[in-house]
Amino acid sequence: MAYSDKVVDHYNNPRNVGSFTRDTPGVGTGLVGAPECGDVMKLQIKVDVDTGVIEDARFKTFGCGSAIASSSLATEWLKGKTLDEAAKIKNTDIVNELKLPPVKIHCSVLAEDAIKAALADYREKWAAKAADAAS
Amino acid sequence: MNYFEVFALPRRLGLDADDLQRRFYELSRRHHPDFHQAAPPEAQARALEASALVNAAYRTLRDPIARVEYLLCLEEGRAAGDGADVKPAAPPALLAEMFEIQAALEEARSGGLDAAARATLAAQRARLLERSRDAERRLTGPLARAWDEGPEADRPCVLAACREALATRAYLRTVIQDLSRALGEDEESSVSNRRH
Amino acid sequence: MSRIVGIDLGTTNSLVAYVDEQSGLPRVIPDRDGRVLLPSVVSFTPEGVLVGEPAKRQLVRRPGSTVYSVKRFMGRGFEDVREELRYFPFSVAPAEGIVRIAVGGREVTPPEVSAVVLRALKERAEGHFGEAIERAVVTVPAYFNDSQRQATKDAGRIAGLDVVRIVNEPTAASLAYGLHQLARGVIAIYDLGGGTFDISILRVKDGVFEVLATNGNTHLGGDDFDRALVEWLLDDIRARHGADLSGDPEAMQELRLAAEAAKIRLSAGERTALTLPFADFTYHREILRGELEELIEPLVQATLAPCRMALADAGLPASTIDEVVLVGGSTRVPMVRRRVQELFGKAPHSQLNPDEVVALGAAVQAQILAGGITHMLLLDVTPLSLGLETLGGVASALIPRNTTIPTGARELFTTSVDGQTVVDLHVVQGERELARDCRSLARFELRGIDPMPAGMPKIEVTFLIDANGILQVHAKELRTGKAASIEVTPTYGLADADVARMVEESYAYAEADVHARLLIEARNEADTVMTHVERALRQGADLVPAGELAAIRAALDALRQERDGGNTELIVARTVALNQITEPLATRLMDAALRAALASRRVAEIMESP
Repeated sequence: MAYSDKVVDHYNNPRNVGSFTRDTPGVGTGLVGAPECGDVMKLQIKVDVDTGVIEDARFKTFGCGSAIASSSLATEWLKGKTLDEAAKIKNTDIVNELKLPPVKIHCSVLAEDAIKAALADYREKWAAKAADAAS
Repeated sequence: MNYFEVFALPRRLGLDADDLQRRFYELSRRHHPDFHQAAPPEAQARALEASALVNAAYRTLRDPIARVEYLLCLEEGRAAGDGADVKPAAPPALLAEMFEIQAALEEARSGGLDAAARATLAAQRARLLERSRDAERRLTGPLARAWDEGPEADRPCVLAACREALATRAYLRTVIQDLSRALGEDEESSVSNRRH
Repeated sequence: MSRIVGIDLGTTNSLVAYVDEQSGLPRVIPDRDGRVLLPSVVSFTPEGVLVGEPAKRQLVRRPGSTVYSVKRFMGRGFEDVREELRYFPFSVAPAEGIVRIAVGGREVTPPEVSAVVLRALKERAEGHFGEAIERAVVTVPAYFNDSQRQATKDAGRIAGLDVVRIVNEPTAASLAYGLHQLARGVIAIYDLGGGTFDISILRVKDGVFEVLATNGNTHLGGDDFDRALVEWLLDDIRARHGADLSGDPEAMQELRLAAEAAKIRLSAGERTALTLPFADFTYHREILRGELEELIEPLVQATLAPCRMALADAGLPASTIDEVVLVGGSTRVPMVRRRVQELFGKAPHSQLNPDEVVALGAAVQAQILAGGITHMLLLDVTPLSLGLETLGGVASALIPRNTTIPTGARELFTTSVDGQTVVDLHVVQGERELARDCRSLARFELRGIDPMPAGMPKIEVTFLIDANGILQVHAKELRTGKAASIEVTPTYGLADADVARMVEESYAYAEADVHARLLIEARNEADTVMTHVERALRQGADLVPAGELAAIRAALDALRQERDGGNTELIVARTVALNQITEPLATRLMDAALRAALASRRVAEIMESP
């Protein structure tokens, strides 16, 4: 078929659906949208403030199957990664893993944007405090 | 050949509907397969292609909103339907609002919709519909005029504003559609109007 | 180039028409007996295949091998029609893919049955013009999907006709009205036939007939009115006579035909009666128009939702419609006219005969294609969205419904596994979000992709819906520019090889000359009449004076002797003679049945009253 089993599985059984309370220490939130189709995606990371490692990740996506599968996969990958490693996740990695067809590539872009936004949010909110604590 | 060129029209957003229709009929009479029945197969295939192009061009340009979307594609040098390279920064407040409505809708749906919940959803939908119309009015009114008549130097700004208005409308429409479906008023929802 | 005729291949009746060169006006072609409508009925008898009136007369006698309303089965699968099979006396094999009807020890497909009807019309036209007819425009319901259109084209091919254009019925009707200058502005065509319903909204301007939107239901028509009435009659018979006729195919056919006739009479009159002599009792019943209307109300209502959707898709409120035109025999039902008038807020009209107008329009389109009419142009739309099955079984739209045809869409595909050389596509048609709720059209296999790492090949697939509303698919590998070969497996269609075989078989049928077929018709007619007479004699021999009885027996024997001979005229003459000599008997039997029915009813009424 045109789609891999993996993508169908992520679509049917999305991992890590849900959310953290925004103000929980170490939580970074990314909220992004795809203007082409009106999909919205919220992706959150929960970082161990001491080690800088992502302990957990959650998402909530209102959109098509590829967007859901992309964000589901992204949260799986994020867990256990350092912030720098997380920043290296590219939409093309998601495309290759899920074998998304060209028409659905913008869904993977959305997931990448969401990761970036969540990392930025974390840095803005908590990184300074983490640095303070460390010093 | 782009859709404006198909009709020998400049890249303008303000188009006269009657004039466009006249050009469409004229081109259809020239290219429609009905008038090429006796032609050799290659010529028939060309007529089919040409006629499909004329129809696609008319479908896009006759709709003032689709016209703006298409113009953006042309100006950005991408094929119609491809994702934009230059993304409009979605207004964060709008995104958050849409997300919250979606989440509330999901919750309302899982709890079964009582009359009060339905009334709330319906009122919300009416409000969003008005905002979506507002975005449309902005696109077909001041923005279209700014593109057609404003100075060349303003055009990038005009396009950016168009992009933003279109994005706003897209987010609103998605939520409006989901609300309508939850209210059971959109059973035979067209695939064409669904996302992607 | 040979002439092109226009054919209305209807659920109940079919017609053929052409445009008269001198007057420039379309005309329907009658058969030898002056009848214009050819009943779309085909009977597979041991003697041979019958079509039209002779086949219709076999409906009660050979319910299991006489096929009618086959249009409801065109391009469909067993699962699609399972629900309504109980209304049909012939059986359909529960198999995958296309519907197969079991008749007289063999299986036939709907296109083959339709081909028999088309061939009869082709021959009718050939007789009229004295020349071979090889090309036709054939009409289909606007809401027919790709498989149903393809099945119609296949039927033409099997009948030896090149179907040069498939035209939507309501649009064809608009052409006929347009040619007569009877419709202009924005018009709504409400087309309710024997088995299908269509609504089309058109703009008629400067000779261009632009369809703005269409909607409908390919399983809603006069047949359903008849069924509602049959169900009601069955209940009534159960209550009054304690008999359940639903398992008796012959009785069910009699009931269906009587219900249809009663429905037609109720369009003109406020009340009607039907009397049906069955083996054990005679059923008599008066039916009021109001009773019929109560039964069909939900069906008539069901036509209104598609009307509203078509208006919404056209972006027009009902008040902007300039004219409402009625097409199809079922629009003669007063309640239909009333509801249409209420919806559109203006009186609908049907100046042109609603039974003929579609065929006339097909003839106009044929003349346009032949180059004989140049000022008219029809721009039709595709009734259903075309989509691809994508992630999670979701249908992703390629071409939205109500797009003007011809139209196309391009999509890029790639591979998901290294070295993959084949890509599968599943094309569906419909408005539902999930592919499984849409109609599966076909699976396409793109083959011959050069082995490359996953995601490297870029295959551009072009989907084109032609002016017939039929899908064509082409594929090209963009890096190499090489056309990819496509293997198509239609979900509910005939493979090319099947059609070729059926064409062969139908030639064999065609070669049986006209005389042979007339003989078959005569023999079947003789059998029908003899069966009736024998039954009448068993039921009412005591009603016949001795002299008359002897004469009837003599006429019966004379016909029986001649029946297996080869003299068609003699068989017909003796059949006519037997019919005439038994007329007084038939009248007496009918009177007796009526009296009995009325008497039993009076008794029943007395018993019921307190």
